[in-house]
Amino acid sequence: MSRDTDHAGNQPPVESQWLGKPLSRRTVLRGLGVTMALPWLEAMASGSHALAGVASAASGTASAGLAAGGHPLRTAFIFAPNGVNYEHWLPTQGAGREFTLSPTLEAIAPVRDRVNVLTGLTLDKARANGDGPGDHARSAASFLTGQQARKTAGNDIQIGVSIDQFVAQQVGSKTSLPSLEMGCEHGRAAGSCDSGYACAYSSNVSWRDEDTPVAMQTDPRAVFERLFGDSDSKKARAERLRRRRSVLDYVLEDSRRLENGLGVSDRHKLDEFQTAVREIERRVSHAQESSPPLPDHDRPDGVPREIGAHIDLMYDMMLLAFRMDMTRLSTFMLGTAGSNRAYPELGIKEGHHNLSHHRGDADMIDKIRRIDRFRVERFAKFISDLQATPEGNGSLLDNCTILYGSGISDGNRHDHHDLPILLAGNGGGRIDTGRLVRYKRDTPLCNLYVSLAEQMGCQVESFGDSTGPLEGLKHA
Amino acid sequence: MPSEPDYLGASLEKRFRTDIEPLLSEFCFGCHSEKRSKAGVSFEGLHNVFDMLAIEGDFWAARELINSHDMPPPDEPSPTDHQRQLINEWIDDVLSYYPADAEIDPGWFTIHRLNRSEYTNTLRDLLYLDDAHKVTGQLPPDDTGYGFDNIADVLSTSTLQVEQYLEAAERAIELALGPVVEVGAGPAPVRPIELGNGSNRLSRGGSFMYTNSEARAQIDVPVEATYELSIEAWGTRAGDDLPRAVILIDRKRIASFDVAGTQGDEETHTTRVTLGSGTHQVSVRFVNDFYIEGEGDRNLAIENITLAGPVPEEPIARTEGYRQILAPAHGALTTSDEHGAASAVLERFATRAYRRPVAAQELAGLLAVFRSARGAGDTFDPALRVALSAVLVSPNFLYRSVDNTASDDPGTRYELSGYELASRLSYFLWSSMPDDALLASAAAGTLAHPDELIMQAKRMLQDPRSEALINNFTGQWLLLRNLDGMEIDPDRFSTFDESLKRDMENEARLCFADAVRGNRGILDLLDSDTTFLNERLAGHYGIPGVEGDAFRLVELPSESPRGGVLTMGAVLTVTSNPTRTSPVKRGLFVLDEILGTPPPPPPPDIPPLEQAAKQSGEHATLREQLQLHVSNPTCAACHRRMDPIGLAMENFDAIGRWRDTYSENQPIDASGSLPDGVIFNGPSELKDFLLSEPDRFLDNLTSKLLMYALGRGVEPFDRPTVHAISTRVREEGYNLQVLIEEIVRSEAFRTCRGKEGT
Repeated sequence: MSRDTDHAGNQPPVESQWLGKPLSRRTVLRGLGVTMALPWLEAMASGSHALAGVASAASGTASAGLAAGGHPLRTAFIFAPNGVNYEHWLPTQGAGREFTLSPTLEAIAPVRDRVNVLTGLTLDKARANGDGPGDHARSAASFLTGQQARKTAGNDIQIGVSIDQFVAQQVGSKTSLPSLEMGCEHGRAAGSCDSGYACAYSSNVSWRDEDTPVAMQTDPRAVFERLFGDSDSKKARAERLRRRRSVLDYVLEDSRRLENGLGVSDRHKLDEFQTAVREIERRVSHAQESSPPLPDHDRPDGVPREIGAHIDLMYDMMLLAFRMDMTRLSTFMLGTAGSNRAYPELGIKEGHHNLSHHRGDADMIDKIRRIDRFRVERFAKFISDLQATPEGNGSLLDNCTILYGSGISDGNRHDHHDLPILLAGNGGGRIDTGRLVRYKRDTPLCNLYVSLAEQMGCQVESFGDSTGPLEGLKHA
Repeated sequence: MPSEPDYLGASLEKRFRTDIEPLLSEFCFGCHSEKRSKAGVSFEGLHNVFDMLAIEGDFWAARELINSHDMPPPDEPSPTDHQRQLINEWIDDVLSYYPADAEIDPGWFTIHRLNRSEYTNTLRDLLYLDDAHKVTGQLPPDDTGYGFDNIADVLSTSTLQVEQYLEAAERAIELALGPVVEVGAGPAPVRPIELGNGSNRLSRGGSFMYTNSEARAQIDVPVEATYELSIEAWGTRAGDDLPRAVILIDRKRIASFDVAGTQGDEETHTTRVTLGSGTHQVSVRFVNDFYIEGEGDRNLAIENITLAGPVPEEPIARTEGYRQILAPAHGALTTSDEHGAASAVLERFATRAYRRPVAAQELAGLLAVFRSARGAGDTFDPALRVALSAVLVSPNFLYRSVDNTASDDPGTRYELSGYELASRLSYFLWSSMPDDALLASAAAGTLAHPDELIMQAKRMLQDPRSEALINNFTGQWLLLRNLDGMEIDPDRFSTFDESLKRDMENEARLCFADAVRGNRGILDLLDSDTTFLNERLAGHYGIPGVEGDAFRLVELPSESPRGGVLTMGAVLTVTSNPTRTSPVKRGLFVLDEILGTPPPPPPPDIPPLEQAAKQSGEHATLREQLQLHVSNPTCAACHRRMDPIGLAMENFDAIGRWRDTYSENQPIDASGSLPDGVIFNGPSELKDFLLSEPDRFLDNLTSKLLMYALGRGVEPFDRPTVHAISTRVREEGYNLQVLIEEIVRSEAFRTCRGKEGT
């Protein structure tokens, strides 16, 4: 079999890469081009508060978190490590709808009408601010938190809640999973990570609170099973939920007993466990009440060997989760901060991070550009798939907002201003796309997060180092 | 307080003289000298580390003010950011200096989530499940801190983690106990029956064979046991004989019988048969067809095939887990005290899982889970399994804790109970739960005695489970785990494949294991006349005479540069880049992992090396490029130590092969000198230098192993503990077994104190 490669012109067709039966991309995206029953309506109808939300939305006014027509809004954040080669990223000509794509961004040409290119946004908290080196760790740690990471090798991690979790904590209870965290690689297995920063900073962008990262999954099969479980029948699933509920009741009770014998700092540790158990209880109840549909496609076989196929499959999982309204928030780390992965399928054998410090070497710069372009191609393909997925009278992309970017602008210089940021999708009509929007230098990236959180229906005064919502998402 | 500082104090004093005092003199003495001492503060005339500690408070204040740029005052000359950092780092180091003979502080114990390998090993031992790793593959990787993945303060617990625990618990129970089997189950029809040639379908689905033919069906059995296979048949008679049927299972004949029954008066033949778990093919053959026109027609009809069982009288092949965990309940069930039987199983299981006696309330909770499942319609066995899986998700299983409610008060001391010590010891040496012998010693109250603790430790080190210590410790200390992710350029290094990676890993592990078993001293880890090789790795090293895949102890040729961890392929590879060596990484490895003196991280805004590359030309050697580090004062402070050490190993390429020249035919210069004047050339002299101060290596190894044993970072206050352990180890001739024993004997291991509330 071969996979679709229509948006990856320079990619050879990918051969069967997994052990066992390869997954057909067609199977995963079986929903494409097919008008299907909207599972989220079914799920929402079972909860009265959610029903009220549909009613008010259906009456014509787009209420917060929903698009006109009652479709839920979804938001995703894609983290690309190591920044980009900025000269090839930045569009130099034009503004608004009239601008010339840069060499790297030519990859978004097929979907440029549905993407905004934002310049001038800054992540001040990724800067040293007196903490010395560690730009890579900080660039991931502050990417969605807008907070300065406490410099520590482990004992006393401190950062802050990330925007996806902030939103999920307010609106996540409407779906089976409040949020979905994915990545293509886990942090390093041994040794310290970046200049005195704990590995947790480099390996996570999602933070539940100031010291608890939200673990991510890198195996598409595991993501699939998390979304849909591994039972093939409704009866088996119902029995399993019933048993799990009883197990969780016991575990929570046990955990309270244990807590009584502990001091404050130990209780804080155990608190993480109890929070997790309560969240799973909520999911079990949700599933028992709403009895979500069985997935309409095969489960992936595991992690593809080639990075391009891996990225595509993770995007597929995100699309699936959004399409079936299993979650409305997702984060995806293409790699951990400072990732030193090679890209053999692009003929690049050197590590990405090593290449990013190219010392002006033309060959190394060329390789960086190819990696940048490759990553944007995968993203454009994802956006194109979202666009091709029908929802209501339009497409799934109409009701999505997908941010793609890095916490470092140029990988050679470790800058944290003028970040490379793409914003795709129309946020249920709240965002006009197809534009190059230039912001004043040092405009906080967090201003964008304030706008996105409001759009998702959250109460938000400020977030991170924001100075207000971000102007200009609607065409003036 | 002693008048002579130890070597750490001495090195702080030396740094003060060379790096710090000149800065203080330039920027601070204007106001804070012995003469002026503005605000009562003077930094002049500090003769030794004790003088410095005496004005601890002033240094604290200075650190804050220097950091906030309030000092020196704005109108005075200002140090660069890097100089500020140098001063502040030195202050940090001085203020965290503990003289080696200060009072012992055992540190705190933080509730400790089992990490991935501990969890997997514990499932293995608790459930008698050799392939426990099959159910734990999807657990998220653990957070690491201080270079290890078993640091309690760092190990967090996410929702995803607990979801996976739930998932893994269900799968592990099923795998360990085997499928649910209903013993004595009544006959169930086997369908469909497939027809052979020369037969017709009967109305109820059976087969009518009008010539010699065969009816076939698949049977699926959950467990190896004895079953009853029944064939319901009838025939039409002709000639002298009755129709004859032969039963075959998996094409092997097991029985035959004559069929006297007729249509409407069928007869059933039952055979007992022992079947292994899985799918089997059963066939019934008609073997004596007879037909003579006018005389009659003999035929055989098979209406039904059924399978019953397993029969209760015959043995059933159960998993080890089933026999150990569930089987006792079935004995008890004969008294029809279902509740009592469940209670006995759960109490025994939870006691092992929680690594201490289970409390009455806990047991009551588990029985409630069992009853709830029974009430919802599960039979005895499945209901009990729900309760067993609850044990595996309980925080009492997933976390190790100590019962110290005063754990927020740093002033209190707490002695670990026998059970708590048993867990601490077994997770240190086995990365798994205590075995019965250890729990028995805890129950008897003898484990609190250090001699008993050491005796148990010795016993446990002889057990194969101690492989976990070797793998997990060396995997992280020597960065062996990073080998897997190394993306070495296959064009430049075509011999580097998975087998070679495994071999490299094995060499390092076997040498460390050799030391753990007492055959190799600690200093042999730095340099040695022997190592462990197989043919492939020996070939990689250019050492002749080693044949075959198996590893064995090899006496190294006298001219060989190998021996000790620094010249092992594994270490040389993980400290390289995908396309070339990195003397910086190798230097850092020695400073960090061998000497325990990692340099501070590089300063921000590192100027690009572009100029260097241009100046020194296209074909500049690595050494020439690295020269820039030394010519730039910001880089020089650390790279003057790192780079020469790394360059001394340049004769080893990026996968650890020996080379005399670079590929461009440039000769390799492996000479170097350190800031304090030490000169060496090549790996052997580098090793000699490291061996000239063996206690630095010993202290570092002690710190790392202590960190691993305690599952917490080693803090400045641990210095007296480290010193006391190292001293004993030195007296005993640098023996690694002694190091392990002394860690186990230490107060830090056996006691703890409260931690400041957070």
